[in-house]
Amino acid sequence: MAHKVVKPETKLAIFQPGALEPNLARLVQGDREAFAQLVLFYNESLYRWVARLTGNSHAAEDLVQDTFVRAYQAITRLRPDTNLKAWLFRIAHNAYANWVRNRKGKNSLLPNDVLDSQAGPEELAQENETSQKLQQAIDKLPEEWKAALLLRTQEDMAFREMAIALGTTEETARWRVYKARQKLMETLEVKREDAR
Amino acid sequence: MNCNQIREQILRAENMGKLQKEVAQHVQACLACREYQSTVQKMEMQIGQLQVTEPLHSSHIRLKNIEGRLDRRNVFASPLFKFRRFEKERGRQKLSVAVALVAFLFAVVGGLMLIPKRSRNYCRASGV
Repeated sequence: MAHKVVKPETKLAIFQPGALEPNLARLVQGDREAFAQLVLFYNESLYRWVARLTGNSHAAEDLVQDTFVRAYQAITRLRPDTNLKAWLFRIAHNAYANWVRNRKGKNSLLPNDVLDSQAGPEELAQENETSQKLQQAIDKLPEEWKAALLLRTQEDMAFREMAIALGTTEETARWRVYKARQKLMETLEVKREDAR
Repeated sequence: MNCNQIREQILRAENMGKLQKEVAQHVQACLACREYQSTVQKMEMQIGQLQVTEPLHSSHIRLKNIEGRLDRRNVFASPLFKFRRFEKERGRQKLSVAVALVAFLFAVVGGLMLIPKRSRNYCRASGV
């Protein structure tokens, strides 16, 4: 399946000007305009994270939409000190966990269409190869480690924020990132030695 | 701390650029650990820049889809439906009050029917 590949920076550059910081007070009142702002502000980063986790753009699209529908249903229960980003990522993480559970039951593997090594001109071939190796190494990580590592590297989340998003403690979030980094370093070192 | 411990601290760090003082001093002095740190940092940057396929929908279409789903759910919250639900709840309340009342009446009648029997038996036994 060949998909057009877009670099995250490019997408952010297109996305940022129209995005306004959502207003928590208006959100709590169930204001639809404020909710629309929330969607526009966070949907790209949520999609990026979920797409990387699921490895499938259709599933990611569904999960992002589910996340916002669930968020709207719970929006009146938000507190003034709620970290909106972490809260949304937590809902997305729960939706993703359900998706993984259902997929295991059906035992059907969806094709991974998040990265396509065939796409792009020849000058990008080497870059694609490195990315592909990295992507393969990430795909082999346990789900929880992968989720934590991607929040750290792609979303630049602090461990405290990550703990809220993953529904765990700060120490566990730190440990997951540590294990993921360790495993990736080992895997990539082995691949580098094999290449020599 | 030896090099292995320092590398473990590097892997545990929240921000590669802001390492603990002791770790940062070691990294500055030790070439191998400095290389290790820069490899981890580079790897993290690469992960952050990994490409994702273009989403199926743009942000605005996604927003429309979400709003569409919310509106479909909100049908159930229309004033007419709310009124019906209110009526249903009131009906249920009335039914439960009626059931409780009937149960109470049965208990009272049953009790009244039992009392004379007992007192009759008591009278017979005492020979009054």
